[in-house]
Amino acid sequence: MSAQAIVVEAVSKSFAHDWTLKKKEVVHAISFQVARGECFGFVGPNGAGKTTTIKMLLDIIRPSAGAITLLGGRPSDPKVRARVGFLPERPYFYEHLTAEETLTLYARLSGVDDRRRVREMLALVGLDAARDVALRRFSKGMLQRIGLAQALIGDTELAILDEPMSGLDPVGRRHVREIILQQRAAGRTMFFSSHILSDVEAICDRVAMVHEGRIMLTGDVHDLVARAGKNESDVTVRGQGTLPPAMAHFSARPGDHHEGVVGNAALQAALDAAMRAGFAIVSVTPKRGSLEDEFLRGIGESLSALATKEAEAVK
Amino acid sequence: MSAVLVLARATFIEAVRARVFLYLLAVAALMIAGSVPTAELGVGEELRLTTDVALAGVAYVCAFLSVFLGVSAVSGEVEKRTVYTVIAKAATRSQFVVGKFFGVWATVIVAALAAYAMALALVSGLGGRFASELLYALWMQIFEAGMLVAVAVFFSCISKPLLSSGLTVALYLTGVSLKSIHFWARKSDTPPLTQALVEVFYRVLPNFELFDVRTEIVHHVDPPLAALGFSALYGVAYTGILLGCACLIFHRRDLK
Repeated sequence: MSAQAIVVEAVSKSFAHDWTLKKKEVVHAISFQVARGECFGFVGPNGAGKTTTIKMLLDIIRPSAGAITLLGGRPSDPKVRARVGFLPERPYFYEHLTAEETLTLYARLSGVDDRRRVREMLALVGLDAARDVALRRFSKGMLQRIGLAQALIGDTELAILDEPMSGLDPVGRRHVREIILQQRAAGRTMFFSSHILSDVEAICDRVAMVHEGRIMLTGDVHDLVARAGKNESDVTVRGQGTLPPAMAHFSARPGDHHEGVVGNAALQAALDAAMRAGFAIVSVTPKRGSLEDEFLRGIGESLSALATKEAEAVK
Repeated sequence: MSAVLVLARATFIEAVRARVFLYLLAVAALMIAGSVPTAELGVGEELRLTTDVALAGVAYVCAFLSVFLGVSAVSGEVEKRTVYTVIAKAATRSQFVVGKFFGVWATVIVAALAAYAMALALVSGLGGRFASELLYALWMQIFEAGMLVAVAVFFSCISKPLLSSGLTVALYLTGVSLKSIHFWARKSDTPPLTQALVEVFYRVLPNFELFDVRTEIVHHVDPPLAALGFSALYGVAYTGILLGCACLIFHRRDLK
């Protein structure tokens, strides 16, 4: 059994214009791997090529170049797809089928004909009370949940979720997040795309950042966040009198409070000076970087590198 | 349960629960009921005319339903993106196309059965003898609907519903007159090139005229069993070839 759930090797995709037939490449030789049991985030802004890549993973569209391996096989093999679950962005289903009929349909298509499994999945996504309701009466959040249930209903080893939290309210997002974590804990590989980086940061082990059809960055989420750390802290002190020079820029707040940012290198000396001047230290909070900071930095670096390369090619 | 059956079942349930299905059954009932006042125009031939108009009404409703459901069977699912979750499962694209075909065909068969039951009730109520001939007409109707659904599904695999509808209707209208066109092209002073073209079309295009036994039925003449068998075989073969082509095309498509 391959240790990798997904292997994408130099995959490109071009689409021909409907009338002129002129080809436009929208995904440019991307490569990445997702290990089994991992929760992998595929992040990038709208139009970055995330959905196109996901469609190629599932054989909905075929790569113009490169190769994709899913659970050790080809995505075109139905036996491989039987072990893969998929939730598309804004999922659409047969609207006259009830929730239970819908899950039964997808269970049978996955080779699982188990009524109990259908009921379990309805309970997992909190739709057991709506099992006899036709999907045309479902809200967007309910459709997203039934979509998640159908993606997980078979003997799913790998779940590919395209923007699973888009359009959900905070409660719905939290619920979906919990389900994803629960599935990962059960040993399933979770691959999901999102442009909401805080969600990815909260639940993923690793990420690939994609922009304009190119992978800009891949790595461990914790490493990336640590790399984006700002090396400075928010400090709040309380007291009257003159603040030491390192805190001279602090803003005054009600109740004799003063707050501001101090570089970590000068932090200890600044705190000692403040205490000597009769101030009490209320709080010191290291400023943490975020995936978003690293993403924006990564995009900036990659775009300037690309521009330089293109300029050199023109010369 | 095989993927084809699973998809056919879902397609059938989805179709019969849609309001348009009930509306079409209501239209069929109106057309069948409307055959009574229409038939009064033919003095002394009321029952024959009633039967003829009722059977024509049933045929039109079945044809409409075949085209309406068939043209959106595949392209409608691609547009609505319901296809993504289905083919991302273990179903192959060919199973998807064939499953959609059987689901739509089953829906049309149920509509035809309901409409024929209404027609039978009407003609029996008027004192007519209709039963055995009705079975022949129903038999033909089923195979005609299968071939028409296959044409619609074929176009549905290569174009959007509006264009597919136009192409399917054009092919159906040509198909119901194909024998006559061929006959007149051979009899008249048609130029040889046109005759050759008509000959090619006659061999290649679907011949829906083979399934029309209304004339025999209204005159209480049993159609020859060999002809019924040939028509059914022709329908099955043509449907199979069309579905094979549809599967090949759909297999190669990028579903953007």
